[in-house]
Amino acid sequence: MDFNSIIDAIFINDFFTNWVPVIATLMIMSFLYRDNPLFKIGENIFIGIALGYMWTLLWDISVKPFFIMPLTDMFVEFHLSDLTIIFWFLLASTMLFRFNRKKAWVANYYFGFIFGYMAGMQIPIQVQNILMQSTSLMENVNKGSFYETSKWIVLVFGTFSALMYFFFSKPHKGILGKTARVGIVIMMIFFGAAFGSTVMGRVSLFIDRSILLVAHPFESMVSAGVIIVFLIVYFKFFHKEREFNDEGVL
Amino acid sequence: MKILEKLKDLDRRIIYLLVFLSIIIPLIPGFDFLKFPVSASKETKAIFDQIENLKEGDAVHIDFAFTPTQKAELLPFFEAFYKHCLKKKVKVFIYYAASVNGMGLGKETVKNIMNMDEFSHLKAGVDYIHMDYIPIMANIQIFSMVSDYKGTFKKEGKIFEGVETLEDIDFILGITGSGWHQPFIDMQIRFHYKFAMAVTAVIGPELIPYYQTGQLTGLSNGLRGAAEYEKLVSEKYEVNYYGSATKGLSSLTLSHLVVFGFVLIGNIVYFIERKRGGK
Amino acid sequence: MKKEIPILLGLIAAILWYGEFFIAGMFFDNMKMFFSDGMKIGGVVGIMIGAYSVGRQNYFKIKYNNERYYAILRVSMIFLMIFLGWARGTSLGTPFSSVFFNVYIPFQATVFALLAFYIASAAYRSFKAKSIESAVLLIASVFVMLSKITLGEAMWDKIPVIGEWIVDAPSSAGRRAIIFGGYLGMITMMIRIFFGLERSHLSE
Repeated sequence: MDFNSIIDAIFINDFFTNWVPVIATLMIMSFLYRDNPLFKIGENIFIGIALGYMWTLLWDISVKPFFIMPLTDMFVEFHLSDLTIIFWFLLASTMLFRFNRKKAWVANYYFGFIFGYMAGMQIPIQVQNILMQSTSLMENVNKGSFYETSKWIVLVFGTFSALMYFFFSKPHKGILGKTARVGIVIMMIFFGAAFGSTVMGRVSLFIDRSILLVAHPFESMVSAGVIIVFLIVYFKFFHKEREFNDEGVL
Repeated sequence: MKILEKLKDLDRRIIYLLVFLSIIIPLIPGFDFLKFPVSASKETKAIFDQIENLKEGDAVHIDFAFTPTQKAELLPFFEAFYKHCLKKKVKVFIYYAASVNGMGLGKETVKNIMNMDEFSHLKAGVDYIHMDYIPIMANIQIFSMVSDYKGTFKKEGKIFEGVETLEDIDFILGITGSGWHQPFIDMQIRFHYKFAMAVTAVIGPELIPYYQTGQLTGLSNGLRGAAEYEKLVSEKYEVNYYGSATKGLSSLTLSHLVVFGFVLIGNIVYFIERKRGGK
Repeated sequence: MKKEIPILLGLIAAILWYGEFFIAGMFFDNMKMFFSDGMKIGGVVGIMIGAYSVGRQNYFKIKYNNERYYAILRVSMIFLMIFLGWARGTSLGTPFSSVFFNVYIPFQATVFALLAFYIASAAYRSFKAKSIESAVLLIASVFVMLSKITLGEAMWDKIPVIGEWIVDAPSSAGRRAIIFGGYLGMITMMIRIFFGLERSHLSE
């Protein structure tokens, strides 16, 4: 058995594909009971693996093809356009000066460029966007049915009154005050709709996890049992301090 | 009243436990008692119709821009949409722009779908292609795409025949849970491509204005949107493409009922207390 | 000199992008490729800076015993992944991708799945009809939630229609107002950068 197949055997086997995802899921879920060492171990394994995974992959698909390879090609055959890579590398490397308090200004060259670049690109686009959003409101009132027409009327006047609430720093009295109040209600409906949708989103995140747990019933029950026993023992004998409740009171 | 006090200081773990049970019980085989038919919303139907109107050999660009975090809501949609594209025999370009972490997930999913019997004759580089991560901002990608769609990516593959610039792409789908596609939406005014999105439910309502202005030609909202799409494709082609989204609908219903229950109890407790305080 | 030249650089870049907006042609195509190269290399340098920063943080944590063992665990996991990628490659079916699917995905998905519990708890504690505004919020969200679940449709076939009306008309109007505000703020900010009035991104 050579070295490579040993590594393969460690990480590609039935235990790893059936037990580890379930244990990982339940380790993180133990946080729902209380902050505990199992959760912290899981958290740190996750952070480490996430960073390691990202860097290794980025090395393969970003650093190598966009920086290392053009650089080595340069020694084989040199083009004048290759200088752009060196130029950009030097300019971007000035970002490192941000770590030094006295020399931080060197990084200004890169940041100044990036921000100017963003500004030049964004201004025309954003102006177009505002025009698009406002011109799309200028349509025929009659949409055929009461349902569609009522939608359109609410849309136009709702946008107008919500803008009233936002933009005028004049005291909200009289007609302005009343429009602004309608604006608040409109905003509240938006937040309500967003909240309703968010509930669905959050719940579906856990549905995905539950599908995993249900697919491995034996593994889930055994791991859950072990984790529960650990939590009981840990909080009974090792960690006796009381916990803050939801209102932050001991 | 003792119950009132208890309800007021309800231990959060009881709420957690009820939510947990409400999600997991409908998923256990045999307990799926909350199954109701699902009807497609007009936004999801719009995506489906546009793919239906494509001809064989047209090009579809999928921007796979989510991490495993949002896998629950978006991966079912990706699967259903991708299968639909393969059924329609269009060329699919899958682009992993926003996240390196999503790349492994996307490639594995595509690999599993290609292993299915009905699609096993399709080849990478001819019928579909993975275009790897490029660390540039999407807006620049769009600008570059206008000048040369090939130039920014690996040039290999027969699939690039006839696809030179952005105008040769007939449909773009962005799948995301973040604001990554805002530049795509903004640029739509300038380049008039057909761009639809599948998003997580959290940002779904925020994108409705863009659907109304026509900057988005379709919008699928969260797990529900994915379930709708699964149903649309399955019914049209008379195949079983029902996946985890349809499976999760009963859990969605029961857990929402639990949330309703908690909101209701919370309000009742609040009103009783306010009445007492007023006396 | 510490600020003037960077501002000038930014101005030149901005003017070039403006030109691109009005005039198409060879020059601007090349410019786009040039800038796009810059972004790629910027990403590469960004990775290096991230690695340096993480290394420094963890070094101090281990040195001054600030949760030392967790930091050691974290760093060893980074090295494990780098080792796996170096030894067996990063494509599908390798140990590297096995760790990704069986450790990374469950951990990350579960961390975010905890939000399902928190949002239920938050709904119970703070979702109360204390005023007219909050009552409106409550009603809107209940209708949207009902229209999302299949039970709502089964109970009354008008529920999805009401949900759609709420999302399409008043909710969209509210969102539009936010969009207007956001874009106007963005334009103001960008114009300030353009003219060199905004200097908070530059250090002394």
